[in-house]
Order: sequence, then C-alpha cells, then structure tokens
Amino acid sequence: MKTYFFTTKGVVKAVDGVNLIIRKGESVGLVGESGSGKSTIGLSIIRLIPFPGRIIDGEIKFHDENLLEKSEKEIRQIRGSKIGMCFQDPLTYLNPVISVGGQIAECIEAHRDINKKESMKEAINMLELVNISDPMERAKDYPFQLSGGMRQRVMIALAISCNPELFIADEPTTAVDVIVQRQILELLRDLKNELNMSLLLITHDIGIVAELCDKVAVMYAGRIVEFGDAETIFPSKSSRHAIHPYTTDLLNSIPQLDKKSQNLVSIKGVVPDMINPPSGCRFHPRCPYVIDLCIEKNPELIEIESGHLVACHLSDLLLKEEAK
Amino acid sequence: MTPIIKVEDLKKYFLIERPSLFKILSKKSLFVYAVDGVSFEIQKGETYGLVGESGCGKTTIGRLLLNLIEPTSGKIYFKGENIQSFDKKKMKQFRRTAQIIFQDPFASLDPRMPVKKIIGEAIDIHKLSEGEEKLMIIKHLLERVGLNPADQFMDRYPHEFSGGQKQRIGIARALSVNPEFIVADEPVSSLDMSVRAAVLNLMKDLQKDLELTYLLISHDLAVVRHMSNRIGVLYMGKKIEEIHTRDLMNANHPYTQALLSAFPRIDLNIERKLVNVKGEIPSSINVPTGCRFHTRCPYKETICVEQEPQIIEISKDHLIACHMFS
Repeated sequence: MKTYFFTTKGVVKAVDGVNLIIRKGESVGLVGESGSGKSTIGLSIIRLIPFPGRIIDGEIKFHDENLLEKSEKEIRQIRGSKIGMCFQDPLTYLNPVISVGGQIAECIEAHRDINKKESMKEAINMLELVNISDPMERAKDYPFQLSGGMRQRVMIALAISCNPELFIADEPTTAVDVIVQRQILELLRDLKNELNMSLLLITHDIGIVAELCDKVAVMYAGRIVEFGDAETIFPSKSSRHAIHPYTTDLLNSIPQLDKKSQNLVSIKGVVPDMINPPSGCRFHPRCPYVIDLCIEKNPELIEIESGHLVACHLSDLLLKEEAK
Repeated sequence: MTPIIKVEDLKKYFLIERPSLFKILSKKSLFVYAVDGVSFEIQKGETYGLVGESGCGKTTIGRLLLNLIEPTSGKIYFKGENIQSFDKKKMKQFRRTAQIIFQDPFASLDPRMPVKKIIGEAIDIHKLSEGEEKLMIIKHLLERVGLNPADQFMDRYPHEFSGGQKQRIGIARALSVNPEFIVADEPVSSLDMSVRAAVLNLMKDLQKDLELTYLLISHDLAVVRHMSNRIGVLYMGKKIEEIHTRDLMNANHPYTQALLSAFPRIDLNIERKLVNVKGEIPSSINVPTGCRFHTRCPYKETICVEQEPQIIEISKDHLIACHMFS
C-alpha cells in the first residue's frame, strides 16, 4: 500500500509500499518514530485519510474484500462496526456536548437494529466491560468530567461497542501515566481475548508492544523494515534475534529498568525528511553497516527465517553474525 | 561537605480561587497543593532524579530551586546560603551558576533569533565575553554538544533544526555561562526514540568533563535510573521514598513498587512482580487525609487514612514515608 500526502511543499510519501497481514485473533504491534507513517497506515485501513492525503496504490483486504473499492456508504457500515479504532487523545475525538453513554449508544444504534432504550442499556454494559466503576452514573457524564484514563476507557468502549473483528488502537496510552497505562494495556489484552478480536496497536513505545503483542512490525520512514514474532524481535529465550540494524540499535538505545548498567547506543543523524527521503534504503545515512548497494537500491522485505521478515541488503550476513 | 543544593520543607501552593467580597463568609480560598513539604540534598557532581506521575509537583520543584517562582514556605540553600536572602547582585551570580534545560525545545528557543544569538544572549547578560572571543566560545559550545561543523549552524534559526538538534542547542545555551548546577526538566521526553540516547549520552559526558551537578526531572523511570545516583519518588507533592539507584528495584513503598511493576519491559525474559493499583491520582485540591496514597494503596489500613506517615531513614540512603515501615 502507498499513501502520499500532496502538500504545497511537495509529496510526502508517508506510507511507501507497505505489506502487512493481520490474522484473526492476533495482535500486531506497529512501532515507529513520529513521521514514520504508522498512524497513516491505521487511518488508511479505515479510509479516513485527511486531505491532501490519498491512497495512491495497493489494496486493503478485509477478509476477501478490497476496502478501497467500497463506496463511502459501504465503508461507513464497516467503520465502527467491523473495524473499531481508538486514538491517542480522547478529548479531541469524543464529542464534548453529548454524554459518554449517549455517544456509545449512538454508535450502537447506527450499526445495529436496536431501539434507543436498549442501546443505552448496551452502552452501560460496555462501560462496565471496560472496568468503569459505577457505569450507570458515569454514562451521564460528559467527557470533560472524566479523568484521562477514564476517557481512554470510554474511547475503547466506543470502539468495541459493535463487536469489531479488528481493533486499531493508535497510541492508546500516550496521554496517560505509567500506572494507568498498565491498567489500559491489561484491559486491551483481556478484551482481545474475550471478544476474540484482532488488534493493531500503533505506538512509538516499543515496551508497550513487547508487553502486549504477538507480532511486531518496525517502521522506518514509510516502510516496514522488520517483521516477526515478539519473541524474535525482543530479547527472549528464543534463539532468534532482531536483525535489521535500525531495530537492534533502537533496542540498545532505550534505557531499560531492569538492566544493571547499560551503555546506550546513540544512533547518529536525524529522522529523514519525508519529502526528499534518502535514496535506496532509507536508513542508510544512519546505518553503521552501510555499503554502496544500500545507497543505490531499496531492499525488499524478504523472509529470512519462517515468519521473520527483514528489509536489509545485509540481512544474511547479519543473521550469520547473530547466530555466532 | 556542604551539599550544592539543600531543600528544607519546601512548600508551594497555587491559589486558584480567592474568596470574593460577597462570598467571603461562605467560601474558603482554594489551593492546589503542588509541593507540600519536600526536603532533599544534592551533593556536588551527582545526579539527583525526581520521578513521579504528572501533577506530582516535580516541575514545580525544579522551578522553585532556580527561584523562578517563590515558595510558599520552606528554605532552599545553594552551597550553604539561603537563596531567598540573596541581594540583586548575588541573585544574578546565582542565575549564572544554576541553569535549566527545558522539556520542549520547540517552545523554549526564540523562533526569531539565530542560534548564535540564542546562545550568546546569556553570555552578554553576564558580561562574560564579547566580540570575536564570544563567537569562538559559541562555536566551541556548538561543537561540544555535537553540532558539527559549527560554522554551518551559527546563523540558522530554530525552525531549521530537528527536535534532537534543538535540544542540543538548549543544552549549549545552558552551558554558555559555565554553570555548576543544571535542572534538566524532562530533557528527552519530547524527542524521538532514536535520538534520545544520544542526548542522554551527551548529558553524561558533559557531567564528567565539566563536573556538573544535575537535578533530573522525569516521569520515565528507566531514564531516571540510567542517569541518576539517587532517586526521589514524589506523589502528590510529597516525597514518599528516596533511594540509591542501585537499590531501586528493591524499593519498599507500595507506590514506587507500583510504578516499577507498571513500567513496560523490553526483555521478555524478565518477570515482573505485579502490584495492582486502582484508579488514578486524586485531585490535588482536595488532598486525601493521612497518607495521600491510601485511596489507591493495596495494603491500606485504618492508620493510613487517619495519620500522615513521616519520612524516615530505614537504611543508609533509603528514606521512606509509609506506616508499614514505622
């Protein structure tokens, strides 16, 4: 898939040839820095790319249907019912002048054949499901009356109110503190198992992905550079390791709480400008292993072990190195 | 040895609602108890980390230490001298020796000044140098914080830099007046993951070379642990635990334990002991009675509701305010 933004300064290739598969009941974490295109992928899936952005190529298949060929009416039926989404900042996405219970009920009414009274009842059930205490009373509250954590729970309740098959969570815990973050992650995990949803978790915090996801996709400058099981990408008992230089450097650059002493790897350079991204492999100006080929040719995302995909010209070499 | 910074029973209340003439009989003044009786010392050359959730008062403490805001009560000593007693001349000198690095490099650099002016401004104010020599100092500072070659950056404006580079400029500005003590208020939280390590490493190198003392304020436990010698944990304006970094994983206060166990891990081999804490931080206007953490604490007893625990030393370099340990 390719999604470009046609701005007055030039074309921003936010997502530039990304392939991603999410299976039923699976949780996939999409990590990347700001501007890597991770949120654009989420928005592309539910076709909510704002102007001047456009999905210019590729297809998005939900079951076997291409979402890009759907009419606006059809996509609205899917959005909110079969695919739910929640965002980083609940206060800007929740309607400030409708009570939270009312908002959830509205969503349920729109997608299900149900009357007003029952939809409100259902909304209260949803609030209970996301562990909001005293849901009857809270349903009458307006978003500004709730705390940050509660608002995020309401967003989640709204997204799951129609039993979606796919739940896209875009930075669900960035606006809350670490203890509340933990509560929300636990909630997401429980809900995913209970409702048998697939989860696409979009975040810049690699630790959250390690905690919650089965599979990990690492994005850099509009492309996926590595994809694999969480046990492969993160340090674990498994014999496999992350291979792509960006992933390994990133993992070594983050201070960890449990390590006794640690020398942080500093990755040189800066995140590239997406209007004129570097040629070839987009990580090459910052990569410690760069060779001429990297500057000339973009590496394809290839499977180097079963279920472990890497986009790097030197992946074979690095894989052998790791094995030693 | 005299500590470089000593804080005694520091309090800062922000008035949010004053009783009006008409309401005076029925209404009390409303305060936010941002910092409510915090004491600690920072020794020369060390990094003291302050950690806590948003709204716990950590940024307020940083600003109080630099006398950017006036405390409600309590004393701050800089090298043994009370900073509230400083006259104008001494205060200016203090402002040179104590500097700050801000969280948001986008907001803390003047967009209409070129880099050389941003960094040179403080040098001018303190009349440390001028002319050619000043430019040489600025150039040297830029190179020192990793902006090479400096000539290329001198005349640029902040918007031409990335977040990490701006933070480096912020650091160069703080260093321009040869400070001894630097308050670093969330120095990396607005930066991208891949440039954070570089800024943290730079701060560590500078500390070694220039014998700097840091007060590091952050909500990120791992960053604080990586950088600090000692760590103070704040909860609702109170210091509830102070611990040497090497003992952090064995912290005793239920709140510190909850913070530690909630922190996402990267290494999947690590098992975390889970301390389940309910709810969120209560309002800092209507502060809970007794121990402020009792509304969320899994080990709550009656005494916690009634009586406020005092902070006591339970072993060397380990202070805790919890009834379980008194």
